[in-house]
Amino acid sequence: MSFAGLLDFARKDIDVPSTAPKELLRGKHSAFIQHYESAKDSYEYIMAEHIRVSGIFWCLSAMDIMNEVDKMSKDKIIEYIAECRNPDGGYGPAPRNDSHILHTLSAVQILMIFEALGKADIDEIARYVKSLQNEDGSFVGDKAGEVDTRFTFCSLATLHLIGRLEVVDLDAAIAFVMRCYNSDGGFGTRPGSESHAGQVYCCVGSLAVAGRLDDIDRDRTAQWLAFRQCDSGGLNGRPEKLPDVCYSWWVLSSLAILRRLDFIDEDRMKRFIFACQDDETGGFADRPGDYPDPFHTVFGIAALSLFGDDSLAPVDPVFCMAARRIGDKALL
Amino acid sequence: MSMEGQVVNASVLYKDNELWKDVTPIYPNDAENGAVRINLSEQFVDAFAYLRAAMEKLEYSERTLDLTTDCIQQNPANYSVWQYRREILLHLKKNLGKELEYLDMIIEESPKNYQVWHHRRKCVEELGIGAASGEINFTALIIGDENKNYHAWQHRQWVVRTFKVPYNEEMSFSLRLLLEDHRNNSAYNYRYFLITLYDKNNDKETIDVEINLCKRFIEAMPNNESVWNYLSGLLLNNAFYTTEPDKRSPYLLSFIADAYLERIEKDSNAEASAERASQLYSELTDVDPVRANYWKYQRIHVTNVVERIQAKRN
Repeated sequence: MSFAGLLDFARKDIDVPSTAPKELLRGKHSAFIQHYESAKDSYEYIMAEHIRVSGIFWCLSAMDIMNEVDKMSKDKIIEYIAECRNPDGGYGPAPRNDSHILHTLSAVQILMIFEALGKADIDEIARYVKSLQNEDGSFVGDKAGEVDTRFTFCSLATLHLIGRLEVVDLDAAIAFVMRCYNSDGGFGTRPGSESHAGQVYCCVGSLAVAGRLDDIDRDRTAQWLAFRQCDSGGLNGRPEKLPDVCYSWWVLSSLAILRRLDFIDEDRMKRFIFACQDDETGGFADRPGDYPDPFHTVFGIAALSLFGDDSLAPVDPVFCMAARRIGDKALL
Repeated sequence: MSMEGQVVNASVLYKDNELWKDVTPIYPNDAENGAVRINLSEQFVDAFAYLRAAMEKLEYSERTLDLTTDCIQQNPANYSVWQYRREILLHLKKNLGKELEYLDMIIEESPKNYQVWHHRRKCVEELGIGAASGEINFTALIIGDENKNYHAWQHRQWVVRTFKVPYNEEMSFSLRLLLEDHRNNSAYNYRYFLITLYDKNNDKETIDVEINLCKRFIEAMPNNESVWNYLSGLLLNNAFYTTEPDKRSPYLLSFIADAYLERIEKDSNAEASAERASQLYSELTDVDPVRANYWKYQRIHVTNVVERIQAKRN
């Protein structure tokens, strides 16, 4: 094993280019998102049909945190969301697409951003979410039957936001989440699955919604999360993986929920996030120099907001939305 | 066959295809009038318009199976297409072994696609135990390409759990990968999964082997988060087990109990930590009877600290 010892230096990370942006290019991101909205007939837009409602949420939430949501076409979007509703009570990613919990949560969040939740049929949404729960407490994402702690979080978050948490078996849901709690302090998609920062966010978020954060050893989970920070400042999703801006959100928000955000080196973190901006087109990419997209853009902006930024509205760490939209539904 | 159909369909649009004359395509509202499109996009719009129509009619046929092949080629992440394809396969009583061969190809092209792995699992569920060894080989192949592929590891776990693949074989598989890459967190996690699945958490021999393995990996490469996490996971769940009763040192036990006390003070998992600390102190009364009064005092102290912390919370 001495040969392997020679490779001990091989830690996975990236170099932040010295020419990379060093501050928030707020105006460019607003233009970047607006371009996405106006490019409805573009190839990308059609290609993204299967993720569109969530895509709209990423765009809107980014704009709302930047206090720019007025620039989005509110009425058209609300109308579009209504078209995505299915007879089963859930929402698909586009009209005539099967319902999925990911898009159902996004639809609810979009309506909350526009303060138009009154336009949704709350009972029907609750009925749909309830139909996704299995006997062991887990949730499927749609009728295909895939089980994942992501779907637990989306289900509980949806029900919390519409005020109908009581329709599911919450104790069973949390029991399933706890079966996915690993000895390293992290959480995976299913019992036995490897810890993954995205799943930690979903599971910690689920515990927060259920008021059950005391069920875990917060320090141990927070320690695992703190070890996600690489020397470049960026955060990875698992040991020995490359850092990515989306983990900035999933790790930081989890730490914020656990009230241990200070475990992260803020200056280095920001340096990495700033470096992921595209200084020509606007928007954030997963890593410095890659192509930007709305997904990484909302998570980059939301992560910066967690640290506090005068040009950004405070973000809610559980729901990834401007905190002012959550109102009395805030958990922390 | 679907593969041949894909080749034919790739060269022609469905709207110009005699075989599909009886179907009225359903275009999305805003894309319908787009006049100028690049070739790929036109194919995409065309194929999905016919897919929507076919799904609406619930048509389960050879041509719709080919259509899903075509649509999956354009966008393998569309979950509804996979669901529809599965319904067609089951209605037509298709050979799912062939389907797995098709999926080998799709997964090798997009190994991080949730939908395709789920589809694979559904097919294997139908096929039963006969498919197990093929799945073990296939996941080994994908893991060989990318040793932390989350989907492949998760699929393998499911196969092992469902079809009771022997413990030793799988531990060897994981060990081979760890010898190639000491930092493969997925492989450590897999060992923990196997130990739990085969109920070896309290088997001293197994845990000793694992602890020794950790020590060797740490000696060779100390800067390795994964192996430290694995080791602490083993120790945390076996803290009592690793020391022989006659070798239990009061210093060790009180050291651990102190650590738990500190946790209570910090309100970190206070109740569970208190339970553990009390256990340790009552054990100390036996291990170290000369100081029994002191250990009893410590037990009361634990209770007081927890109460103080709980009061502070409210």
